[in-house]
Amino acid sequence: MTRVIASEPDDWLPRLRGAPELREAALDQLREFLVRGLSRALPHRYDGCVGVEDITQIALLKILNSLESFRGQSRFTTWALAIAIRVAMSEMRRKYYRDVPLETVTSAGTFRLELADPTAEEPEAIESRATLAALLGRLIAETLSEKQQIAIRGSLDELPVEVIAERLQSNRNAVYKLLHDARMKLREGLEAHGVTVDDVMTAV
Amino acid sequence: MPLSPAQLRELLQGVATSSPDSLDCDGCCDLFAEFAEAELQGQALTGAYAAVRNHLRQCTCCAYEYETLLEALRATEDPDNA
Repeated sequence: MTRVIASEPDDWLPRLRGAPELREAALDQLREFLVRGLSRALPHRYDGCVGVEDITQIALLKILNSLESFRGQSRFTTWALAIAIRVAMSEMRRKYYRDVPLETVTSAGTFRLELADPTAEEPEAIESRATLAALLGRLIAETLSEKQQIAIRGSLDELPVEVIAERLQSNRNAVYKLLHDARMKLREGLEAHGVTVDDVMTAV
Repeated sequence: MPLSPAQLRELLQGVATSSPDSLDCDGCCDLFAEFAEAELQGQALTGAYAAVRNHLRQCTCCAYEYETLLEALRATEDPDNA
């Protein structure tokens, strides 16, 4: 649905960088705005495992330390809310997955991505999928690095990239690139064997 | 532990739908605010915005964050949520 985004005064930066009274008033206004948005969007995600007020406080510090990166391409409050969401989601993922055993991600050195026996699938499993799975298994073993296999396994176990990165002592960008490069490599490998995207989509 | 049939399907879908991605997660998140406003206002999502959309299709982590931002943004504009 198309919406009209209400405009807002563009004096946030001078107020947040201004005299203490001005700054405090701006911070109170921004805090109230963030709490309003986060209170609706966070409680039903990751079991609402963080407190909105606490996260807002952490986000405000991050926002104040990032003022120089605000380019004015959106409303200031939208930009600030995006930062707050990122802070919140990062903290929520860390807490939510803290006690989840991640054998696949912690067994580096012995891990191999293993495909299920395609013949054991549901009765309607088609032969093309079995053939495809066998080829995919070979490509995984022969063309993907161990870290790529770990990243793929983790993502298929529904672990967020950020959590996989933490366990691999890496970062989110690097793990996303591992995953993306792995998928592209598998796709190229399939295509080199005459298997097209259409073939894959038909099989799944 | 072997992949389940559902995981195999998910893997194949991921492979089939992967495409060159000019953004990483940080680059995508940096554009969230303007992308969200453009989307909510029904603007054409071309250029850099097309790159954001492409990344969101391939990164579940960023996609979930973006969905959360949209929900929060709508809440701030909801008069019943004042």
